[in-house]
Order: sequence, then C-alpha cells, then structure tokens
Amino acid sequence: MNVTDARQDGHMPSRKLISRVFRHEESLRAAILIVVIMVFAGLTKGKTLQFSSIMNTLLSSGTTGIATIGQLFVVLGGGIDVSIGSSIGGVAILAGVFNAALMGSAMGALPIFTQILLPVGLATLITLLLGVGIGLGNGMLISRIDTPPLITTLAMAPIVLGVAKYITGGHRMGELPANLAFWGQGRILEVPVPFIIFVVVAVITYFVLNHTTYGKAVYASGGNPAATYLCGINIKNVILSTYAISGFLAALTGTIMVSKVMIADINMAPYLMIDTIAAVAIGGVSLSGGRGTLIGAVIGVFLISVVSNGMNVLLLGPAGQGLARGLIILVAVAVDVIRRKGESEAIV
Amino acid sequence: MELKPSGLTFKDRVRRLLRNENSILVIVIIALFAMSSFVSGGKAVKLLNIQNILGQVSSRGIASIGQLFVMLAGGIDISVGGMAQLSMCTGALVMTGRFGPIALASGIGIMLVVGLAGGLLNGLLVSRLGIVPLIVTLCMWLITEALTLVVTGPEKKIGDLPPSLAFFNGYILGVPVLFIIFIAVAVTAYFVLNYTSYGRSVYATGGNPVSAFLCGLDVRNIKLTTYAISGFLAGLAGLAVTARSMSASGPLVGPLEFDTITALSIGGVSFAGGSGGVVGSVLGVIILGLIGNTMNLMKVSFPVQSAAKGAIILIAIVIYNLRQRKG
Repeated sequence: MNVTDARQDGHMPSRKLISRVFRHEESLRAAILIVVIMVFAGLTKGKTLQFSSIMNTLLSSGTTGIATIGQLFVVLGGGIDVSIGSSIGGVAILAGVFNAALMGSAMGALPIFTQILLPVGLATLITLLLGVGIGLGNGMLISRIDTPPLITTLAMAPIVLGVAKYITGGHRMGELPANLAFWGQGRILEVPVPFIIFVVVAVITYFVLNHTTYGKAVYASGGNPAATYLCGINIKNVILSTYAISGFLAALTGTIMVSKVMIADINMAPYLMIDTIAAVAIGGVSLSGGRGTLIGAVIGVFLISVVSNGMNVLLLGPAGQGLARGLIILVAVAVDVIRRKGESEAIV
Repeated sequence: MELKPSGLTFKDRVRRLLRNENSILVIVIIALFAMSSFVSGGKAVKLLNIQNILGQVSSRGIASIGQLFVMLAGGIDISVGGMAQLSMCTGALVMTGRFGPIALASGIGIMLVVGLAGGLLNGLLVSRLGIVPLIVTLCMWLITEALTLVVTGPEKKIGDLPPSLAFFNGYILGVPVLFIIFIAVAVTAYFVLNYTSYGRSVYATGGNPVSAFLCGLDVRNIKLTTYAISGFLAGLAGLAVTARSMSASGPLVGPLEFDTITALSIGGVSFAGGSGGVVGSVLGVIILGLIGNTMNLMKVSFPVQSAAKGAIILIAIVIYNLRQRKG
C-alpha cells in the first residue's frame, strides 16, 4: 500500500520516504525481530546463526506457523481458540492410532482401533477431518448459541484430550509407517518440508484475506458484527468457518509433529497454544477482532521460533524457558500497545 | 432483600423460587449428593467424606471468589494457578527458614504478600498499559510457574513445615477450618459486592466500561483492584493447599485456573462481565467438588474426569445462554 502512495506523490524526498518506511506497521516489528535475533546470536556466540540452527528455527516455525494461521482466522473473526494445543495433542495421538493400526502395533489402544487397517493417506485424511470436526463443534456453539469463545474452547480442550487418552489408554504410539516421515522430516533443497507447507498455507491465506470477499467478510465480522450483519453477510457462517479452518490447521500441525518424531504423544505441544496467541498478539493483530495482517502474524511466528530455538541452544531449563518466554511476549506486546496508544487515545 | 410476596399463593411462590437460578443449583447439589450416595453404597453420606469434600473445595473456592471479582469487572485471570504455586512455595520456604517462633506467621504473611504483589502487577499491566487480560495473565502464568521451579529448587518440593500449620487442616465443631475461611471470604465478598459503592462500581465497570467511565468512576483503578484481590486470594488458596498436604510444590495446586472458571460457569457468572454473584459461585464450587468426589468414588479415570468437567462447562454455558435468550 505504501508503495502506491509514494508513487502517487510523484517526487518524494528520500528523507520522507525513509520516515514513511519506519512508520510502517510492520517495520517496528521487523526491527524487534532483528534485535531479538542479534541478542540470541550474541548470547550463543553466533551458534544460532549456523546453517543447521537456522534450519531448526525454520522447522519449528513451520509447525508453530501453520497453527498460528488458524488462530489468526479465528482472532480476526473476533474470537479466540485456546483449544488449539489440545487439539494438536489429541489429533496427533489419533493420527498415531490410525497409522499405527496400519502396522498392527497400536499398543494399549482400545482393541477396535487395532483391528482397523488404514493406508497412510486415508489415516491422515481422517485425522484432518477430525480436526475440522473439533473446529465445527467450537464454531457451532460460538456462532449459534453465542457462548463466549474463550470459555467454549477452554472447555473443548480437556474433552478432546480426555477422549484421545481414553482411546489410547494414555500410551505413546511408536512404530509408525515409514512413509509418514516425509511430512515432518523431509527436506527439499535443504529446506524442511514443514516450513514449505507453512509458506504455502501463508500464501493461500494472504490471497484469501486480501483478495476475496470471504476474507473481507472475516475482517468485517470481527470488526463490527452488527454492521456486517446489516450488510447482509451471514456472520454466523463466517465465524463458524474460522473455527473450522483453525481446527483443520491444528490437525495438520498435529500430523506434522507426529511425523517429525515418529511418536505420537499427547504432550508433544505444551507451549503451542500460548505460542499461537503470542505470535498473533506480537504481530499486532487485535485480540478484539477485525484488525491485523498476515505479515504481522508471520513476523510474530518467527520471533517466537527464534526465541525458543535460542533457548534450546542456550540449554535453558524449564524454569528459564518459561521465564524468558513470558517476559519476551509481555515486552513485545507492550511495545506494540504503547506505540498504538499514540494513534488513538482510548478513554478506558 | 426480596419483596415479601404477601398476596401470593403457594403455587406462585414455588414458581418464583424455581425461576431463581440459585435454587436450581441447590436442587442440583441435592440430586448429585443423592446420586453419589447411591452409587457409592452410602459411602458419600459418611461424615468423613463430607468433611473431606468441604476441605477439598476450600482452596478452589477461595480462588474462585478472586476470579469472580476479575470476571465481574470484565477481565479474566489465567494466572491464579501459577500465583497460588509461587506464593505457597515462597511462603513455605520462609516457614522452613530461621524465623523460629514466628515462622508460621511470617510464612503466611509472605504467601499473601506474594499473591497480592503478583495480582497488582497483573492489574497494572491490564489497566495502565491496556494489554489484553488474556495475554497478561497467560504470560504471568508462565512466569510464576517458572519462578516456582526456581524457588523449590531441584527437589521440586518443600517439606518439613512447622507442625502448627496443621491447625488449618483441623476442624472446629466438625467443620474444616479451611471451609470456615472459605465461607468467611465468601461472606465478605457478598457484603462488598452488594452493599458497598465499590462493589457496585465493579459491576458497572464490567457491564459497560464506557458509561461507567462517563459516570465518573475510576475504571482503571477498579480493574486494578480486582486483579489485586484475585492475586491475594490465590495466595490464600495456596495456604489452603499447603495446609492440606503439609508440603508445598507446584503440581499440588492442579489446574486452578480451569477449576475456578468451571465453578463460575456452573454458578452462572457471565464471562462478558457485569453479571453473576457470590451465592451462585459458592454453589458452583460445591457442585464441582461433589462431581469430582462422586467420580472418585466411582473410580472414574483422570482423563475421563477432566473430559467430563469440560463437558459440564459447555452444558452450563449453553443452558445459561438459552435461558438468557428466552428472558
């Protein structure tokens, strides 16, 4: 958008151009990202800038990123999905069950599941549909009965986990079919496949949000539901669809995470729910809906991934990780909020 | 409180009573209790089991009252569990220190102060910087849990607490001391919310912050105080947990944020702020405790229990929403 503005102005002094770039929404965020990258590079004496470390960061940004895009849809539509982490855990373990059933080794799972034999493609399809089903469950309650999003998805989380644990008997699933590994461990020209999937999902999302009526409807439903309704848009279905998208992308993330380690474990994504919300918030997406960009959220994802990879390289324990994560998210969101305060003075 | 229905027939009175949500909750409690004593073959009615339930619900109940204040003012506090963990572990650490005769008092004091300080920090970030409550309290939850690990050290547990702490796990006339503390907190909250201008302004802030501001209410400070109250009561809940197990460690607290939200949603507290009450919340806490106790007596496994709790929240909010729509 800024580029076209600059062209319309014709001759623009370079100083003005620079100040315009720096005032751009995402430039501050990009600057924060660069500072964080440099800080971690300094702390680890350059280890995080080594090729393998960068690839690790890209790998983890792949899974966090796909789930965050789902969260982005929900948040833009004025909701929030805190069931993402549990959906990923639950769906992951079900992906494990279906795939392990193929190998006939779903130890500890309910007997009927060990009897089913499924090819990998079909098993993955079922798990993705399960994710959509969880999202539709959230979305139906929220859009049709007006239950509060935070509480609805908070309540959905233990239901999904409980069912998954019941089916598997609480065991981890190993011995998965070998051709599942490509989605999590594969590389194309040295780039991790999960990251490529993330980029594809992000490009599609960019197109959908910015160049389709559906995208505009998502923004409108989150920004001003009453006016959107009066414009003749079916907000109920728009909101329903955002949760379905989130559920689908959570299931995709779950499948990729399983194939990364070839073990399905219910606790494989302890921080993921927080990370998706943090990435969206750091990216300047308003948690009250209707405002924010995909680019911002993607920068948020990179920031979170750089931080968690940096902490792994530094060999921080759980205490240090929790502390650093909490503080960095708070500071990043606070910077954004304070900067925005200058634009419009809110009374309360 | 209510107008005396002088010219009403008995039928009208019953109808009026049934329309009150709290009386429905009481009926649910009686039904649950009858069911649990039936499925357990009479075990549930034993005095020891009842005392056990009352003791168990106390820590959750105290924290729920704090959460109630925050929610009435339109916020949410996800950090109550972390706050309770951190305050109980720092307090317990002080109790084992070399304060001798005043070890217990100083430890309790530290628990409450840590909770209050954490709550104030939440409140400042929400009310002064204007960061969304969900983000602030999620981050504080991460931070407090991490600090708890630092405080408890490699053993992840603090034992050898002064024996006088056991007083809190005792009974007065057969009633658990912790339950008396819970009821005292609830009664105070009831008085504050219903009979003081502060209480009214909490409701006003949650119901419509803009008009509350235009009415001259100091909305920012009201929000701040609700988080401080929640933090303080989380510290007190931490004391309750410590007293029950005579040791302090993070996992003992359990998913307190989830439990308080479950209890309040059963009790009919609106998550949009501005509506709900202490009586409903207390009944919600007791119902949650009874459900947990019944499932324990029935030997229901843990994942099924937590799934059931999730389903209960969903059912409760659906019922309340449908009722509201009809009214």
